[in-house]
Amino acid sequence: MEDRDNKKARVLKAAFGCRTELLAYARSLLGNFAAAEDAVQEAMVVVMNKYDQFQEGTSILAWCRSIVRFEALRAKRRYQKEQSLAQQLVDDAVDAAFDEFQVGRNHDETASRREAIRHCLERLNDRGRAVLESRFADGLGYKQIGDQLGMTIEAVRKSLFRTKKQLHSCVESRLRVTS
Amino acid sequence: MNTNQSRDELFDRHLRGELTEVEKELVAELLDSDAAARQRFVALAQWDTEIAETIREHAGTPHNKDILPSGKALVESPSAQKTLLSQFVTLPTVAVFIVLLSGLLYQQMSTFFAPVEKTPHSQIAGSPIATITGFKGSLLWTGNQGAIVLDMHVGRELTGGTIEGLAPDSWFELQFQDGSTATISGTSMLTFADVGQKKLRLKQGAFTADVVPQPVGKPMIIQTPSTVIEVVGTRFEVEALQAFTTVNVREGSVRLKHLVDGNAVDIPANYRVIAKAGGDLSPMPLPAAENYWKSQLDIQAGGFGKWLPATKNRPAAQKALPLIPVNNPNVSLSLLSIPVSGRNGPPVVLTPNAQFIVRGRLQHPAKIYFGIAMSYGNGEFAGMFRGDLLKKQPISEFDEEHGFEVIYQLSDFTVDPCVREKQNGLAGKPDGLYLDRLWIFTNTGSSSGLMVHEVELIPEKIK
Repeated sequence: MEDRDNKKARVLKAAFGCRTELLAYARSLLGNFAAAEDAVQEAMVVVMNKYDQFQEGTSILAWCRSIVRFEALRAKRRYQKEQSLAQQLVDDAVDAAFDEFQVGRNHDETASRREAIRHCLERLNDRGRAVLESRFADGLGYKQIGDQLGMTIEAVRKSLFRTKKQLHSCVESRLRVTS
Repeated sequence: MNTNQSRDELFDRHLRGELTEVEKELVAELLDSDAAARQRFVALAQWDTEIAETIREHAGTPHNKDILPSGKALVESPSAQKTLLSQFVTLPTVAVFIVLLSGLLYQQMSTFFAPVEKTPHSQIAGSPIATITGFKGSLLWTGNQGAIVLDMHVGRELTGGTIEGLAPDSWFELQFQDGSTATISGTSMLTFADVGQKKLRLKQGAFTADVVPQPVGKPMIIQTPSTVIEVVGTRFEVEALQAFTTVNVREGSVRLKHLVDGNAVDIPANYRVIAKAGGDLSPMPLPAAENYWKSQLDIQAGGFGKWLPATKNRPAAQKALPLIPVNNPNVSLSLLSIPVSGRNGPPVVLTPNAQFIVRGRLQHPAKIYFGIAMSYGNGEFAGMFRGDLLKKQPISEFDEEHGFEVIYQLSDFTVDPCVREKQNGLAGKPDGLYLDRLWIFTNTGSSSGLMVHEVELIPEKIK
């Protein structure tokens, strides 16, 4: 009994540690942050109930990803009765890409990155931060952001690209310094 | 922008569901052909998600499990909100039985995963127009502002919106403020509103309704993908499937308008109209009910599951698809369904000694469950029943092609668990009732490879 409880605790801790990676994967399949969060949440319920099926020593990320994939497909089936061929092709390609290249991060690494992002976000100029927030928090398209902030679509596109690049550089520098 | 910037922007838009079909193909091609692109895609998805999570945490985005923001297409599609400018005369208030087999949805909800729209809770609330009076199985409710509501319970008041049954055994009953009730069952999608006049749009599946007399000049309007029906106050059943519309009227009369050409027809009691593009709308006498039925999967697709055409090695089949009930994520079913009554053929009535013979294939030994949905002669939903093989489960005897044949005796059927608590007004046994559809599933937690080639209903036991 104690072994089972221990395994449950280990599997759950490892699975929750992959949450951001799983969310990235779910977003790639669903194209929507809220739907992806939902799929990951549903997947975590499955993990909680089927933890004993996880073979320790294998990749927890890969195992969880297979559950998330199932949940994402279920969500798609719910809303899109039939998937287009292009959608199926891109889903298969995304799946293969994650299988090949996604690696999990440990807790400390994730925490450091998150702290670095927070730190660097505060250093962005107001316009850049507003564009980023409109895109990432509100999920607005280029035109909607432009309408909201009085910018052309092209200006929004360039601003987003520049701001993300700036943020990335800042985060990498910050991580180098803190490490 | 250079090539890498364009590629990154494409990936960025993919993560937000903003790509066109052509762009999706481009992304698929890029990922398939270029390892560096695959690596970049994964890194970008990861990085983008880290930023999004951080910004959202910072912005204090609400994470409400009950009301989730969703895409707009479901409730804002032009067809779903189109004003119905019908000029029909009103109809007699009598019971009718209508079975509609209709074309595919006007609009795929392919844009459902569109960028999230922030919807304040106060806007979603609105004035309730109906109350949930019963539900079971996998259902999804989407309110008027596109909010997906997962917290379903009897007594919950709802504003207009869309109720979706996700599985053949789904069941949902709704009571409008005036006492009229509507029930959907099976894989169905019903959008409804009541702004002084009830307007329902059955995009897919089956529903029954018991409608109290409606205000003068404001009949209940039911729209399916290819027809419009007006009801003043009556009891009826509607089923929308694929390609065409069949309306069977048992009592009273119904006026049906064909949307393709604008032609309208009054269908008297015991008559039927099969409405399809370019077809004749003349009412024909209803065929008499029969007690024998056999599926025709070789010429007739439909229902839940993946239809597989015949090959040299196997006949046409309906393959089960994985399904996790919304209210029970720990269960993973492999499920298929096949529609029965209401198509071109006659209605099918079960006799007390009837039996169902199921022929199909199964990859691994598994218990095979069998369910049926029934209606009364007037079209009212009569209930759902579960067949049992008693001690003959699990099915483990196969031929060399993994084929199996099992027989379910009607006398062994019991009320399906999903309607057991809602038995008022429903039948206690299925014989003498009309067979609407059937479903077959396994519950092994993984794919069982279940597929069915044929289901045959025999009126009497084979000696």
